Amino acid sequence: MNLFRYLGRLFYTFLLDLGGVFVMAIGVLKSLPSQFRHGKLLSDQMLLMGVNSLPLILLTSIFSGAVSSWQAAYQFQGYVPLRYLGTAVSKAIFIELSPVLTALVVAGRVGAAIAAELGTMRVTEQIDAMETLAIDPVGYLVTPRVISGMIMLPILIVFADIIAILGAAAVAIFFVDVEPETFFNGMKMFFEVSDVTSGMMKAVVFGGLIAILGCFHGFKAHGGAEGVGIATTRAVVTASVLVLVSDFVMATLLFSV
Amino acid sequence: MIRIEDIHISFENKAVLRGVDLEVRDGEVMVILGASGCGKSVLLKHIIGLLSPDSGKVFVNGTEITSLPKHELYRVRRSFGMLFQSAALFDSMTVYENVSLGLTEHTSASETEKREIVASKLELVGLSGTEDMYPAELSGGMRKRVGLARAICMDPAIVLYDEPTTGLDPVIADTINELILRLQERLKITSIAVTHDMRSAFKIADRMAMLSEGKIRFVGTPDEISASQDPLVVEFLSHR
Repeated sequence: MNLFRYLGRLFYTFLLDLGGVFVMAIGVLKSLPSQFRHGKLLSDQMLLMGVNSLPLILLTSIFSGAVSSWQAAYQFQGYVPLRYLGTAVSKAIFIELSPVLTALVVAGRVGAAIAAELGTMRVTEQIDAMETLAIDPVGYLVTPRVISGMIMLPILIVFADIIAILGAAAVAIFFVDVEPETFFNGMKMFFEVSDVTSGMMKAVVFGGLIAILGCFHGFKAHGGAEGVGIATTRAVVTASVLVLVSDFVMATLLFSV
Repeated sequence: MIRIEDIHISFENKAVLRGVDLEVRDGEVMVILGASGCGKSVLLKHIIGLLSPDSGKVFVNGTEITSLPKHELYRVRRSFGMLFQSAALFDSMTVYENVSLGLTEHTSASETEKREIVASKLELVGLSGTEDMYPAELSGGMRKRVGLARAICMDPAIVLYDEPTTGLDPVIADTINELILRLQERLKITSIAVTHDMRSAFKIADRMAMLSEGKIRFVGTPDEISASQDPLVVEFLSHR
C-alpha cells in the first residue's frame, strides 16, 4: 500500500514539475521580444555557457573520439576491413557520440551552475526583489540562459566533432596502424552533411532542455544551502535523463528505419 | 491607501493568516508588530503581490491586486519599493547596478541621468561613493542601506520594510530608523514596516498593528497601544 502511495506521489510530483516547466517555457516565449533590450545578459550567458565550457568539451571529445576508434578497430578484427574504420567512427561521432556526450558534460557543468546560481538567488530573496522592482524574473534570468543554451550547444558540438575526429584519427594512425589516407577516405566514403546537421539539431533541443531545467529547479529551490544542493542535483539528473530520452525520440524522427 | 480585506493563507495545511483586515492611510508609517513566525512577512508579501491569498482581497489605491494579470500587477508594483530583511542585493551586480536596475528596465534615462539619480539616492542613505563596490564587500548595515536606496530609486509612493533593523547593532539600527523617518519627511511616502523590534517600532510608527494567531489583534497609535489593556499586547510590550 505504501509503495502505491509512494509511486502515486512520485507521479503527482512529476506531473507538477512537467506543468511547471511548460509554464516556464511559455514565459520564455512571451519574453522573447524583450530580449532585444537584454543583449548584454545574453552575451554574458553565451560566454559562460559556450566559451568557458570549450576547454572541458575539447578534453572529453578527444578521448571519446580516441576510445571509439580503438573499440571499433577491436570489434572489426577479422570481420570488417580497417578501411571502414573512418566510416564507422565518424558516423558514430557526428550522429550520436559528440552531441550526446557534449550535452551530458554541459548538463553537469552548466545545468548545475544555473540551478545553483538561481537557487541561491531564490533562497536569498533576490528573485523576489526582482519581482518587487516589477522585473519579470523569467524574462531577465531564464530566457537569456535558454537562448544561449540553444545557440551555444550546437556550436560546441562543431568543435567537439572536429576534436573527436582528430582523436579518433590519431589512435587509428598511431596505435592501429591505419594509413591517414585510408582513415579519411573511409570517413568521406559514406559521409552525409545530414549526419552533422542532425547532431546540431539535437543539440538545439539539448541546450534548451539543460538550461530550462537548471532554471526551473533553481527557481523551485527552498530552505537554504541544502535546498540549493537538492535543486542542483535534480537539475543535473533530470537534464541528463531527458537528454537521453529526447535523443531516442529525435533519432526515431530523424532516421527512419 | 492600502486596504486588506479578510486575507487567509495556509502553507502545507498550516493556517498562517486567518482573516486579516487592515487599512493603511496615505503618507503614514504603519508598523506591523508580532512575534517571530506569526506571518508578518507573509502579510507584507501579499501587499505587494508576491504571494496570492487563498481568499481575501488587497486594494492598492482602489485597485484590487490579487486578481490582476501579471503585466497589470507589474504596473501597480512600480509604485512600490521594498526593503528585504536580508537586503536581497543582487550578488553579481555592483551597488550602482543594483540601485539603477529599476531605472534601466523601466525608463529611458541616459547613463548620465542614471548616475545622477543613483548618486543622489546613495547620498540620501549616507553611502556616497560606493557605486563600484559589490554586495560582498559591504557590511550588514551598508547592505540594508543600499537595499533602501534601491527601494526608493524609482521614487515609489509606498515603501515596505521587512524587519529593517533585525540583525543590526543598536547604532546602525538607529541609523536605519532615522533614514526611514527622513525619507518619510522628504518624500511623503506611505511606509509599512514589519518588525518585532519594539524600540524601532515606537521610534518610527504613526500607527501600529499587532498580528497574533493569524489576525490583527490591535490597531492604534503608539500611545494607544501603550495604554492597551489587552493581555497579549501588554505581554508583548513588556519586552520593550
